[in-house]
Amino acid sequence: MANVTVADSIPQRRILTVEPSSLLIGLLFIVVAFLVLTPLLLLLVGSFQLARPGEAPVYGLAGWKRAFSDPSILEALWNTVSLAVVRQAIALVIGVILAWLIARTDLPWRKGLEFMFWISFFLPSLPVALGWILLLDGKFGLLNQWLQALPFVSGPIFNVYSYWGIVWIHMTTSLGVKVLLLAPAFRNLDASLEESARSCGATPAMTLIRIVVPLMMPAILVSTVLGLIRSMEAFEIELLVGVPIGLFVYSTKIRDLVAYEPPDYASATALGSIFLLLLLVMVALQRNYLGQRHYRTVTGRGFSTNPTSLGRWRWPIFAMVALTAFSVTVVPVAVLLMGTFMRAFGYFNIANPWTMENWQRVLADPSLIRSLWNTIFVGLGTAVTGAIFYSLIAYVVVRRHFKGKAALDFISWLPWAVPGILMGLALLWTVFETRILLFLYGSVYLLIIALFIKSMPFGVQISKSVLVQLGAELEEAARISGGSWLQTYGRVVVPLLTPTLIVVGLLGFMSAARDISTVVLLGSSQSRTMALLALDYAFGGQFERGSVVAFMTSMVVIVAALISHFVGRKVGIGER
Amino acid sequence: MSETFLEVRNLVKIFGKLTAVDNVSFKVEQGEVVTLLGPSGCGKTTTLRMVAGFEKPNAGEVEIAGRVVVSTNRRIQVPPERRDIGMVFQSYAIWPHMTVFENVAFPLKVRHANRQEIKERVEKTLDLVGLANFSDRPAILLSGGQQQRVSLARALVYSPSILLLDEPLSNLDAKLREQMRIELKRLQQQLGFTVLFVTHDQIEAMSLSTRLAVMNQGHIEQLGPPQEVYERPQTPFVEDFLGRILRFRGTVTERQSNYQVVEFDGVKNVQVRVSDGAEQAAVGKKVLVAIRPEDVRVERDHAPGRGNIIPCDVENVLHLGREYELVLRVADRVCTITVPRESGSKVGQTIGLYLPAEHLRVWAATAALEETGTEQTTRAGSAARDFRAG
Repeated sequence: MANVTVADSIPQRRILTVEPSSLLIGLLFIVVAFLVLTPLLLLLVGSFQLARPGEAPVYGLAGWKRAFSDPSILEALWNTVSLAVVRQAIALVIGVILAWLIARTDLPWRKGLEFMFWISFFLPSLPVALGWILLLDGKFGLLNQWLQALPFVSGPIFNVYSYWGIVWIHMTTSLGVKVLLLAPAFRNLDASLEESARSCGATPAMTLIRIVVPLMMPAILVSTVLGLIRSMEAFEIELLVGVPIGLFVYSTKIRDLVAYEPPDYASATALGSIFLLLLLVMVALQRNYLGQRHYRTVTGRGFSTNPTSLGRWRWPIFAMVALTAFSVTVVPVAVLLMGTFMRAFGYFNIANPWTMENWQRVLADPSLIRSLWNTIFVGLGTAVTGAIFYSLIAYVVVRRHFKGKAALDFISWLPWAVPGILMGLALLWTVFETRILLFLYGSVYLLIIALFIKSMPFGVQISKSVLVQLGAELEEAARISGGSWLQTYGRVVVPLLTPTLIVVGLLGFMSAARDISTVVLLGSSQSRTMALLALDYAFGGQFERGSVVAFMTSMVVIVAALISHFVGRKVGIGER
Repeated sequence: MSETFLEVRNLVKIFGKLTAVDNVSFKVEQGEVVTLLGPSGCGKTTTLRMVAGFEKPNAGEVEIAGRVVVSTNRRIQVPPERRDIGMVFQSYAIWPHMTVFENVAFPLKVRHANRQEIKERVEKTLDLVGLANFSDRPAILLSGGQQQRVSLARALVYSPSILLLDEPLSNLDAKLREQMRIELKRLQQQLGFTVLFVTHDQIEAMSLSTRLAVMNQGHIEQLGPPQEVYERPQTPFVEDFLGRILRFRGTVTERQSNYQVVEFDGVKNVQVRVSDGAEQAAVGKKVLVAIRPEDVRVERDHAPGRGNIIPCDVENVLHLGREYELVLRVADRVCTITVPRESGSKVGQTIGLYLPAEHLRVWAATAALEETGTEQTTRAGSAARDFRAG
């Protein structure tokens, strides 16, 4: 009899109450949509709003007119596009070759080399830029000084404060992205597709061009688009070595428009809107292109991954790849570390060049202590909210069936196409325009919100991929045993996801520690993180202090990256 | 000697501590189909890949169409693309970004054939494999069997000296596999190309080969025409690997010049005459006596007096559709044979198993054989599963 009553009571309860899970999904949807869409829409609206924030709104096209007529803005637009394309073109060619060498050939130490490029992907740009300034500055650059010691050289060879200086410093992250994305794709390629070309009479080079590269097109495309988006995000390098010579890109231009009195929000948001639309079109095209073509390779038995032999070129090629790997990681960071001990950044010829003073002064500086706490607070805030919300979004998208599932998936992925500086600008504008959110201005919470949105696509994607692998049976078993949806999520899914949540959280923490472009417009002297403090020091000409803080930042990021790597490897995230 | 198309001499390949291929030598004559057959990990694929040039041997030589392409002594290692071979891969290795036509045309393009010639030869070859109307299809939209044909066409289109087939049929489902096997045989007979074929499927090996080599643990156990290898296995491994096998432990009780007599363990007063002289053991020695189940006859009369009949109990009868499987107990061991439907044996019956002297073979009872011979039913069953999964 007892069984009968239990069975009867279940449908009754259903009728009487709204299912809590639907309510939760609805709430989740609203929160995510509000956070992602509002700033972007207001950014667009803001470009037509001419009055200053706080005053009665006046609408007009003056912002757009200025954006399209001001020669300095047009020049910044051109610089942005040209720098991005040049950088991607170089990084693509080198990156494809590097990824192929690492994933498909018998290159010595390829695991270690891949690891170095992986580190380079996470390395913050600011420390790298400072390292290269120390090496390549026209006056005091170490490399320039050495080269001038040679008899036939007069005057500096390199000047980091230049167009090509920007391109060069960016190679650290640009190559990192390429290797990170392309090497696994190369590794997943069935070697028999290459071998069949060889047995048909194609040379290795011909096989690479005619078979491997076309097959890798989707991955190459994805990495190119990601690279272009990251180019749009680029900020601190351009600020440090571009602005001093009057070379602006759109992100430094936006900062310029907003940071100085009187701020010109209309032009800034118009400029931002142009890029937002440009990126959305680019991303849509890429999705469309990938959707059309059939790029499913046959995976079945007989999948082989035998590496291609490089023969006698093995060691010369190794030397080249190792040199590249060192140049984008160890060299700038080591030089930076050296710079932190210099009395005057880059001056080796003065009487007593080495000192501990920079470290002592910085460590005693209350603004460092403050920014350290800010970093920890913002980092933990982003990590915890990220881990909870991203996995919940992923779970709902992967497992639950409801209307608007595709929309939620899309919205959670949208920030991927929005460069950090635009996200920051949009949020800043939202805070000013909505008034009720004004209390957030200058607080660390605004940084947490910004970074939460910015890290969302990556976090959700990782959680989704792990959930898909987990299989629904485990949860179905829990439901059959009588667990509710939330109980199942808490008791079965979360424990299984724990390593993933740690990785997602660490990625959030890392973005808080390293990110500059997303938060540069949002941080005040009270809420700035270490990365922002380092930027303020460096941009203000205090390279010695800047390098100390930048070095500390990069160490924090690398440690977090290493932990996430080793935790992530256990659950198969980002298989190297 | 001009007839020899492929010659492999003393090939050795070592992976770390494992000797994957251990001093393998064989020849393939023009128009022959030579098969390397063996369980997974026996070195057959590695051998093929060394012939193709994807693996570099630690020692040995390979000669294709009179040209030395591999010689460790003379430091020759011709890259795969210059060996003039055709190869069909287990995964078909169809390039998904090309159409059927482009896939098949690729080898001709890299050989700089002119457009007209490419068109003619590709069409002719596609026609040959029955894909004449599929030219413009994206290759990835084809079914498994069709992809297999594209792969074959791509390997044949430039008339290579020799065709290497690496388990080409194992990714197809059972019906299609049978169909492609017949097709492959027809094409080979029609065009007369020379083939080195690697498989773990004995049916493919038996039906397609001119000669077959059974490989085990890196070396060739036996090489010869399929029928000969099946009927006169020279090693216990070959006998066990090809077809099913029944084994009985026993002791030699008598030896004559043309036969020996063995008493089976646990079967009192039953002696079996064996004509096999290949591996004669001294009187009193422990041996294993083996026979293929299809050579065994079930006799109602199990009186021990008649020659070569052993009594056994029917433990179970399984209906397989067109025949019955009998699970029989002979002393302490269980063996399985299939019998026609009309034989009508029942559980609990005692029947006689007639073992014709000319089909029995005697092997010295080494420890390894003892082990493989103990559980015959499961052994045969799991081996069959291995083939399918392997």
